[in-house]
Amino acid sequence: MTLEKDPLNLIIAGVGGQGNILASQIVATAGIKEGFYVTVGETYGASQRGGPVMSHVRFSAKAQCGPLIPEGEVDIIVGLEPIEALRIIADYGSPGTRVIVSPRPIYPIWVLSGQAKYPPVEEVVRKLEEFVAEVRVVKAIEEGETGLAANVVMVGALAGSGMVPIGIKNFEESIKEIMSPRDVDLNIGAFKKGVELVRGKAAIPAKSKPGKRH
Amino acid sequence: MGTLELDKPGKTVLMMGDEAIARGAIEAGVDFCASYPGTPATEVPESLARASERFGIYAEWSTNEIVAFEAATAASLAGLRALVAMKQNGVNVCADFLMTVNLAGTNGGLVLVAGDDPSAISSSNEQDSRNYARYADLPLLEPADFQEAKDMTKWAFELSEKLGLPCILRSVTRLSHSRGNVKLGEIPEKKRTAKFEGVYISGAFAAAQHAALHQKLEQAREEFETSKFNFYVGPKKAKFVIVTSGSGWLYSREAVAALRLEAKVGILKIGTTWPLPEKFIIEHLKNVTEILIVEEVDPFLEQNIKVLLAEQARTLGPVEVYGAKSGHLPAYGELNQDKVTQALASIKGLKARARDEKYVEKARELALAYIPPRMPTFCTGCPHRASLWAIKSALKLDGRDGFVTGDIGCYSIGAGPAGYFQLKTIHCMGGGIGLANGFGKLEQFAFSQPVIAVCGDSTFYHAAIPALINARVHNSNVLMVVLDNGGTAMTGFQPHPGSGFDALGQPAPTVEIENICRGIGVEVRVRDPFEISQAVQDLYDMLQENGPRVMVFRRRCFRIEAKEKLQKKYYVDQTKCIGDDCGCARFCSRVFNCPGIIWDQEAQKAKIDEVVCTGCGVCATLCPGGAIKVRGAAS
Amino acid sequence: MQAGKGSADLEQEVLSQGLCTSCGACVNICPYIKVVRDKVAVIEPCGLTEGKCYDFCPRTPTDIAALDKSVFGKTRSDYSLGPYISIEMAQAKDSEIRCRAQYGGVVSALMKYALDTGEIKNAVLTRPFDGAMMPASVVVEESNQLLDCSGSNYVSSATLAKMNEATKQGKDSIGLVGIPCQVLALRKMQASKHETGAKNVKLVIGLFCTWALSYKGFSEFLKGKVDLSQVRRIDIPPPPANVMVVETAAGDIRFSLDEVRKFIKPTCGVCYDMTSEFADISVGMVEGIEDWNTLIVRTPAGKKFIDKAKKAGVINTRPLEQTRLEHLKAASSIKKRRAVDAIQKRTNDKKNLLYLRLSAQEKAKFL
Repeated sequence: MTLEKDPLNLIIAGVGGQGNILASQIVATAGIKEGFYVTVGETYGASQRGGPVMSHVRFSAKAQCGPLIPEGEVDIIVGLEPIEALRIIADYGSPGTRVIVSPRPIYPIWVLSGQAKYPPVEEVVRKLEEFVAEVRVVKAIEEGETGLAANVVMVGALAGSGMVPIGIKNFEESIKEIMSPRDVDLNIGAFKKGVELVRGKAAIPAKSKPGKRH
Repeated sequence: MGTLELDKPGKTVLMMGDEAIARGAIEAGVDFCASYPGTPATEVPESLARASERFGIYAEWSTNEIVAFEAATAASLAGLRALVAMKQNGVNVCADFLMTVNLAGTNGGLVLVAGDDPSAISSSNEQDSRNYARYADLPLLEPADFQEAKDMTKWAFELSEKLGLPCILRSVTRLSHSRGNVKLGEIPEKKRTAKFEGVYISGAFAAAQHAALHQKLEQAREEFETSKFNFYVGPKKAKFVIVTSGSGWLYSREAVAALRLEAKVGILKIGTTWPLPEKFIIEHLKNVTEILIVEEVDPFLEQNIKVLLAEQARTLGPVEVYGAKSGHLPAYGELNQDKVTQALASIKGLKARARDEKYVEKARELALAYIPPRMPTFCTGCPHRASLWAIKSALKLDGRDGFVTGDIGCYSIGAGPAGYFQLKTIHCMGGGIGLANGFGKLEQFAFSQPVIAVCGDSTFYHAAIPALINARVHNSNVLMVVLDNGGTAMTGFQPHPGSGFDALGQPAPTVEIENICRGIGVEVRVRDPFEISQAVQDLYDMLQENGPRVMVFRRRCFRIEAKEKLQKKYYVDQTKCIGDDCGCARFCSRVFNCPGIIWDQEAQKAKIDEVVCTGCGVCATLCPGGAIKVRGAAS
Repeated sequence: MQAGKGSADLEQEVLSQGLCTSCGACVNICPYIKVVRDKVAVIEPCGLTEGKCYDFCPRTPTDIAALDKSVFGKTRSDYSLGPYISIEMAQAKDSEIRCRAQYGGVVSALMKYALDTGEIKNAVLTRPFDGAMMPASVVVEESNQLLDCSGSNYVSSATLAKMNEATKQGKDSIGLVGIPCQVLALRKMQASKHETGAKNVKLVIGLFCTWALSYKGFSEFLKGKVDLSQVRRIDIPPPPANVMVVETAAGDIRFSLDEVRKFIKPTCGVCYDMTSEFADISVGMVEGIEDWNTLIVRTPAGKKFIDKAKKAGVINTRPLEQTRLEHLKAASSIKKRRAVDAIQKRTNDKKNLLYLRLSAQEKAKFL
């Protein structure tokens, strides 16, 4: 498949511990199988301890990209957590950006200690819609679930959305390569669930408006 | 099997920068790897340890970086190929050995991978370790992308053997931890055996050795003149050239493309940053009147280029240099494409593609006013939360305005809200007890505040022992609290001398912290920080004593516990939750502040967040209402 | 009892003023206040403007008359010894108890009887010399553990903290032995509008007390003179000896009381109560008579219990001579006077008696 835009910039945003890194690895490996130069920019260490984490994934058919997406140039945001998706907009968002987001909050410690407020999720989604071209809400975690493979569900949602020109097969091959054998079935299942959710078989449709794409 | 060990030369895979470096070492037939964990370099030795069995590599986590460097050098002296990797601070720790091994020389290829952390994303300082290459007169290589990370490392061993010197390979976080395309090379059949011959002594004729070292550097320079890691892209007789090294390469290329200056601006990319390949550079600057230097972090390349320009003034004529000194790029913080694009645009009088101002303003306001900030915290179940609460309680009870000096590790987060703001100082490894042992001698100046020095178990072995000995000898009033969670946690729980196993997963003897303390002759107590009342009582008693004493709070890192055993599932019995009322006032979520417990706005009671909670159960012991329970347990 | 105030006020008005008695009433009712030995501290402000800690504290405003009504059903008429039904001398019949205990062993004998007969199921007591010098509060359920708790202490332990812990665990039918400040706090708890486990305390035996020593100062002083692990018992013989006798395994050591008085807690200086005026039963020594106690019965519940105990032959009693009674009253009045003087020195204001809310008649006696 070909890239409509080169480079195509994707950010996976979440909270330390949600499995950002694994998600980006799957997506990037799939991209290499598709024949692209892929660069994944990430940070480890302190941010893992419950701070915000972003993975910048950049696809190009021409040459290896730098690891960080320039300001205002993210094309796709996959939000593993609602306010983390919103947090990306300030530095990287644009009216043409498209967002896939899980609506399940993870509360920051300052919210828990009463020093900050966590806005209602519906409101967060509406705010996102004010800044981007499209928001798709994907309920990766059901009520009461621990959300163990929620990151892979969201990778499935990305794959199924068609926003990246990478075949579903390449995603699945990547999962099989990266995960240890005993975890493959669980993760393939999660991936497929994500594909179905985003294609509307169980998703909550959010408002989508056509916007300027660069 | 991961990409690291794949025996498929020619295949392109996704690799992390650090993994690519490790793969380069494997393709060079590396034999020996010693290291101390440090972001962003940790994954290099971790990868080699993973591959150790398959490729006959000895890999170890040494007690600290200088010990690691010395061990790797031994392997080199015995004719083996050795690699030592560390973060920027580790290079500081190695400084003394670096400044002697350069004079004494090496034998088998020895590569020092220095991982800098621009913007201190996971460090307590920012520095540019390339300066050590110039200081120690050692060859310096800077990979610019993932492929070079592999290829340069492989070449570095050859270069090291040619020169009889360690080679420094300098990476930065954005390269080490980013992933990208790497075409794999061949894995050699290696049959090296170790044998030591000869003499390697630094000092007796240090001046002469120094002169010889300079000769070696000239030899390196000759090699560099024809290295494929230095190249030029762009128009043939460009008047404006970007001179860049390392991570600057990808940013520069994208900046030129973003401003559509491919036909006007050339890029001279240097991979062998010290000593500079002077002839190569002069050749490509013949027609140049302006250059922009792009590098991270210090103006290292900039200043060396300026020296070269001054020396070659007659040949090259006047050249305008833009970079850090001119203010176009900062000499601090990490670089990115936007900064380089802005710099180039402003020099060229162009407008970089700007974002809609109104959009940016609205979005930035959102970030400031609407989105709650997310501070890093201790993981759910972390024993440090309990330890710091015990320390806070004991200091409050003591009432003499006591304070805590901190050190490097997960518990450094204790300087913030997660640790109740207890840590008042943080410097380098061992800095906490080092400072505290000084505070403990200020009695004669009417100093009456008790001091607690907090350090981790790995930090204890790495750096704290000499200061503790000093405290003993001078009878300094310091209470040292060692937070022993069983491993080097912040960097990924690598083993240390107390863990009982080594980098290869083999059982290893343990050197107990309390035995070391007893050997030094200081009082030592060992307690479980989860038994908070006892911990507070003990700390309080120890605060009343004089001289050096040690409390070891021993409780395994909960991330490991949670991985090894299926943990209990906790929930809040909201009928028993006291919540906002006197007797609780939202203690668990608001004060103890474990992210696994949230406030249920609807019920106005506490609630366990099943996505985040890992089931350590500490909150259940602290809940004043006895409301936190295990699912499925008899009431 | 008073307008709502919370832990921040407790910190400001009591803890930071050296007025804390270490009774422990505020400890173990929430995670924010802790005690170690005799040191109480607010670890973290709870943020509430009104709470139990301030309400229970014996050094926050205390309306003596209202408390009298709550405990005794009427206000007091005796301003030197507080309300009482009878005063006599008593001693434990069992000589072993008398031997282990100090003076007449009455407290030990009564507590043993109360446990044995099921009058109470749990006894909150202190055990001397637990660890280094500091008495520890314990909950005793079997009377054979009682004798370990015999003997006087000169450092106070946070008895009510132990009681709070015990009632949280669901223990009820509690008997408690405390010193005057602890008894006062306990009665404030029982009279409080806030929910508290103190309502599970059925029997309160109060001890006579003139002062308590601060653990930190006293233990450092003693550490310099004797191996603390060897200490068996501490005693202060009646005047005019003016000494403290420390019995160790290696023999007795004596110090002048003047050396030891330095370590009296400042809060004892403002204490208005020498004989535990709010207890069911108060027990103290008899000056000059080693083997006997002074026994004051105050409440009807106390009287009922003592009558049973007498009938069961647990204690011997005999009348207290008039001169001794006068002496006791005088001693108690002196303490009250000294307290008011000390308070006046702190506040410099006739109208501000800190925590004391005295009736007009009482005030007239001292001001």
